[in-house]
Amino acid sequence: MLTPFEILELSETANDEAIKKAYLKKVRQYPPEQAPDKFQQIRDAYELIKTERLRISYQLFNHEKPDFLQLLAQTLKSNGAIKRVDETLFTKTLAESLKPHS
Amino acid sequence: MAKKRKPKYKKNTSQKPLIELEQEAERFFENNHYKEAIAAYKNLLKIEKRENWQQQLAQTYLLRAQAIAEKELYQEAAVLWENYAQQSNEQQHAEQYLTWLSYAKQYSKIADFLKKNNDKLDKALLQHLYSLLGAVLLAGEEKIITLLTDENPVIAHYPFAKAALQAYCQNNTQALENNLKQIPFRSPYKDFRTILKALVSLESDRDATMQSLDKIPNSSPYYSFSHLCQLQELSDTEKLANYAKLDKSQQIFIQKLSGLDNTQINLLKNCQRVLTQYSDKQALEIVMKNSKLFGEHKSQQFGQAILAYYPAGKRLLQSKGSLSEFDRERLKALAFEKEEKGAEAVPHWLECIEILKRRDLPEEALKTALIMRHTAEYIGSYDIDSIIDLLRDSLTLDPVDKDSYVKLVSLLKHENHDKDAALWLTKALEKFPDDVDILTMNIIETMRKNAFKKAAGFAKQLLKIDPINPQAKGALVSCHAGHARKLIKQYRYDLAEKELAQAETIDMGKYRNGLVQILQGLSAFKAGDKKSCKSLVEQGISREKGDLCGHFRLNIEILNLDLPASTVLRLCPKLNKSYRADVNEIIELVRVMGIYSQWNNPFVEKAFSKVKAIFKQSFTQAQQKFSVDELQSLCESLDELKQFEMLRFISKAAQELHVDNTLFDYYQIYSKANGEASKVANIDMYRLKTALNKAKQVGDNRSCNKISQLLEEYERVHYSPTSWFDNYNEDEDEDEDDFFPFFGNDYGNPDTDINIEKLMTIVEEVSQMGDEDMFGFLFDGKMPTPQQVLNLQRGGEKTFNALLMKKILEKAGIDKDDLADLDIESLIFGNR
Repeated sequence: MLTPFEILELSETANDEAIKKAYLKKVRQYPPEQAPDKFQQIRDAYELIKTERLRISYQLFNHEKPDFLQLLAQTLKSNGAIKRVDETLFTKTLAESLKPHS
Repeated sequence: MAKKRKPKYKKNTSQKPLIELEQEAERFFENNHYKEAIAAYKNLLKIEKRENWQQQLAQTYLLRAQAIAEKELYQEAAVLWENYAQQSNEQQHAEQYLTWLSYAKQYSKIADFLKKNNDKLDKALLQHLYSLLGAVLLAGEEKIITLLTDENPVIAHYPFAKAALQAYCQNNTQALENNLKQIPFRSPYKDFRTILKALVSLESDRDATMQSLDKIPNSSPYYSFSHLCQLQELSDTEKLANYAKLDKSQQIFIQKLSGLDNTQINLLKNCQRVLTQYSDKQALEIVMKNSKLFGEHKSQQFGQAILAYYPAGKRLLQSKGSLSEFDRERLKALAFEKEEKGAEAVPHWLECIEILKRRDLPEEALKTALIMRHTAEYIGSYDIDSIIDLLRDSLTLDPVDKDSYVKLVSLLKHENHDKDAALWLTKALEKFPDDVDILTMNIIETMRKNAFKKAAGFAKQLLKIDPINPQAKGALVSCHAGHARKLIKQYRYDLAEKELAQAETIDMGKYRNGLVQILQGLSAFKAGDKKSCKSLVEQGISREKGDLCGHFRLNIEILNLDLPASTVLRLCPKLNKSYRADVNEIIELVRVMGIYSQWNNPFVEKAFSKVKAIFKQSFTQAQQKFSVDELQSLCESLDELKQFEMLRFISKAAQELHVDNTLFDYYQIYSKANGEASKVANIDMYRLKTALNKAKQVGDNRSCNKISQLLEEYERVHYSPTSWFDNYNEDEDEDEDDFFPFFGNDYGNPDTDINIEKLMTIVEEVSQMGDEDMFGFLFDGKMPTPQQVLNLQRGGEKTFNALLMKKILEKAGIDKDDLADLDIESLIFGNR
């Protein structure tokens, strides 16, 4: 589960103004008519942290289970070190994919 | 579980007539026993060659082939399909047959099929087949080359596809491009070409890669492979989760495409176990161990947040030396909250407050106030004083929280601390002079004190903010009416008329009523003008929702003005005994009663008693027309009015109409106890417990809250625990809280309690029974005799209940006398 700060791509020390700015930027990027789910996620995130009071509340009382998969996925951003696969591995993988229920 | 026995087909042709054999074969077919059906039809065909049997046999072969393929027995499925084709001379579902052959690696059969049927086959099927063979060939099954002719596109285009693959693997861009160009547009390798191109673009444009891979249709043999290639985007959680399910060589394939560096790949390898068999412990260990890779801050955040789910992990976090005393307590509290044990979180939140108070940092005042408010929510209604203290302290630290003012004032009023309530309401108004809720609260408060001028001021202020606010309009009318009443009592009729004329100018919209006319009429009566009185009162009643509302209003205003009721009523139109109010009027009457009650009017009960009989009869007649929501709101309003007799009456009817609605169970029990938890019967507490569980199961929060509050209140009156502030430290080592201590040995007779519990368990079981089980239960597992059924029918519900009660007591092994003091019948049937 992404934190509201992660959704809005903000540091946790961001102030009201920065949060609003980030929120508006995201909303422009994901307008409700084009990306309703993403928009809702952004909106919910903003509603959770838009004021200092809400931010403190969130930091004190939020007990949503942290998502290990999410944490790991964030760490696995590509470094662009793409490698070519050797022919044996390629054909083996292709053969596996042709098996039923692969 | 016992294995289901399959019917076996026995050859018994000599003894059975043909028609029976045919019926038997049909039965096997209809029941999906294809193997037996095949044997039966084969047998029939041996006796006589009939075309319909042959067709039926062919169809059975086809269906059995498909069933067998479901079990991944592809070779057998293919043979069965061949039998089907032979019997029927048809080739339906040939694509399935060819796929099964490919799964069974019977390529020579595929080649044979192609040779025989090349001209007959559908173009799309042929293309699919070629594409499949091409993929199989590229995957290393080179014997396919020997099975097809050189002109076949699978063979003709293969060298280019193969060379392109080699060029890609060797990173030879030129050779790759050259060979890909040689693969024609409609080649069996066209999807392979798309995939190779996509993989090349991965190095420059990942989005383009994903878009290209998305183009591979799911009918293509390369679909799974393209899907696999898409998993290279490991920063996507869904793909990462799917990656974890791959076998080792596939994972290596993805790692290479993913562009991860060695450190990331090692981390991924280390996390494999957590990804497939997640546990909080392992996740925390991995994160702490690799905190540099995950990022120190994020690791700490993850660690702290997971502690609410895995408290034992605090050692791991502490070894990192970052968990403060405050955070330790906070996380303990959150762990309890997560388990919905809010009461157990309270001591830890109080400890957090103490820690912050000791630090005494001005910048932490808001934090302290927020924790105080949060804690107040978890303290049960049995300790209202502590809640009040917390809210009051929180407002001292952070005086701009409207909700806290509203809650605090309500609680102070509830506890009859009227002076304090007024004080905090004034403070709230200072902070929120234009707030609708605060102004409304002030209107109510001043109206209750008959300070009409002040109330009118608030109402006017509120109307400036919200010009159509019905409560403000109603309040303003009530202010003028209040003033007018005072003046009528003082015989100052002209001035009273002026006030009422002002009230009349206020547009009440759908809440228009006859108050002004009724007051004018009563004023006329007092002034001796009986004729005007009659006509004005008549006019007033006609402006109400109906006669019931009109007469309630008339009665209460007579009482308000201290007039001789019988004399006035003799003059006015009477409420017809046969009059029946409809749903809307019933709802409106309760609303109007609520408004009078809100203004602290002492005559609501008395005025209502004059129309109660017709109200009840009207409800009985209209009850079917009420929606569940309307019935619930009605109960809620009657509760607020403390009209418990009426609440009992309505909730009983509502419960009968909506047996599954636990809120009506609650209102029935609550009204039976006249709203006093101390008067709730022991038996009813069991019903409440059952209702609470039921409400939780269906997610009915409204009922849950009401029932929990009553249970808490019950606990409070029976136990009166000392305040949280006095003893929260001592509670730590206490046993798990028993939510229903009245079931325990400290309260009531333990033997009786045990018996009741036994009984209730069986009642619960019985309530789940269907008709058949119920008969079994009533007649000791036997079917009842016709005489028994007849007796039961004749005896009706009473006999049935008596028998059921007897059987339940027998099953529980309880002698009726053991529960002599209890009403067993309502215990058993009460929550039916």
